Amino acid sequence: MTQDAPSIDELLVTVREFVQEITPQLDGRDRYHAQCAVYLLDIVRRELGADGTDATAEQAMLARYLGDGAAGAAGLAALAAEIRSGRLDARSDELLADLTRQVVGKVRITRPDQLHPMHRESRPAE
Amino acid sequence: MTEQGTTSTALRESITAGLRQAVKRRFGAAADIDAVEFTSLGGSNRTVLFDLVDGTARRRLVFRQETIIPANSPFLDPARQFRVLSLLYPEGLPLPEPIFEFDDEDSLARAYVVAFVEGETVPRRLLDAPRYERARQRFCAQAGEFLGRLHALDPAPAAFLAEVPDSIDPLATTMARIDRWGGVHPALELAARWLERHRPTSTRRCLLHGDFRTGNMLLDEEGMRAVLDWECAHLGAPAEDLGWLCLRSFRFGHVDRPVGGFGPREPFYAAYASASGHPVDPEEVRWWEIFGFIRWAHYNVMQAYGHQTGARRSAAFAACGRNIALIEYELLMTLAGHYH
Repeated sequence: MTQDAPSIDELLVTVREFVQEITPQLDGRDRYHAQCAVYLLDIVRRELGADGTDATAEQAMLARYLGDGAAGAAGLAALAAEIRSGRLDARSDELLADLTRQVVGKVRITRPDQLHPMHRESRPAE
Repeated sequence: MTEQGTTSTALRESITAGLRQAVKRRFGAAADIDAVEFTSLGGSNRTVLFDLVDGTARRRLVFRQETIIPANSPFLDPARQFRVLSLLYPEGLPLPEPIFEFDDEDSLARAYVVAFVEGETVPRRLLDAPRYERARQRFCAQAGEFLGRLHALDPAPAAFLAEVPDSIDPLATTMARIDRWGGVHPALELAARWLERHRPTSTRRCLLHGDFRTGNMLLDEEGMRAVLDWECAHLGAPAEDLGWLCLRSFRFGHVDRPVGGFGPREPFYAAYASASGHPVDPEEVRWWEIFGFIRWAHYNVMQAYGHQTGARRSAAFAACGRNIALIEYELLMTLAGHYH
């Protein structure tokens, strides 16, 4: 349902502004954790704003290795087990490319500035 | 409630009393402690600086105590850390002099005392501040010489480390810990599979530092003063220590300087070969760097697990869980040959 303003993002920005405002008054460990809190809020904002492209790509990747129906954490766990068993050894180059795209999707949320230019602008093409 | 930063007055007083008692037991009733400083360094270790005062003599010392013992801890207990330091200090390697170990008659447990060494450990300062330019120039050769000398030692007196899981099979041990702590990481599995299929064939086994990286060594303007943090010491392939120092995750913004963010590989490898008598195989070091990403990821898995299970919660430990993706990314980019 429709909530009144501020929006979720505006609320997160407000909390972020407050934490940043008090950070200079903190010392040592508390200061460090306040900086980490801002870092976490930015992750939350990016994750809430994600358009779903990377999620779709992840599901398509899981289907290529495990068949339809594989999805989410359970699907990733099944893929991890398949890799460990050695049954996907012949597809290791393909896996390297696919898992790079999967991890790029995570880094886009955690710290997009850490991505190599080759992964910055382009969205995964399906 | 946090371990450091908000250490309660009562806790500080009990540690101070325990230190004073330990010092008097060993150095006589006239000995005392002074200038006690509770630092906030170390995640699971308590570090306290103090002066040992005996008549007119005064010496700055460091008290190290293990405070959190995580399940399946990957770290050596303080007793074995002290034993490693005691074994190596007489060899003339730059490390803090071990002074004494706490025993059952002390009120403090799982702890030891070493000499304080003046210097800087913070990576960003060491890598960026103009005052350390000379130390930076010397670093690669000094790091190579240090590891070369360490690895040239007879590992027999360190046989007590043979039972440490990392001495047996670091890859299997690390993956087993990730399994226990949880999380789903196909990228780490892919790298582990690559490592399994490309295991190095070298057989030389040495006493390793195990955590030799920027941040765990103390420098001053003239260069390396002391190598700290021996809680990961174990027996293994010497290239493991070389690869860990070169891990991209420990270059602190200077990704074009593979040796700890300080400089190029060539002088590091050359100094190592000269001090140890063994040439470096860059491909073997690369194998250990790929392994190093998994190992670095596994420490982050451990911190995220500690946070999730409530053992020790903080914003920093929560961030560790999400930072695993950054390590996976650098790992895959290295495996693909894009990063070096």
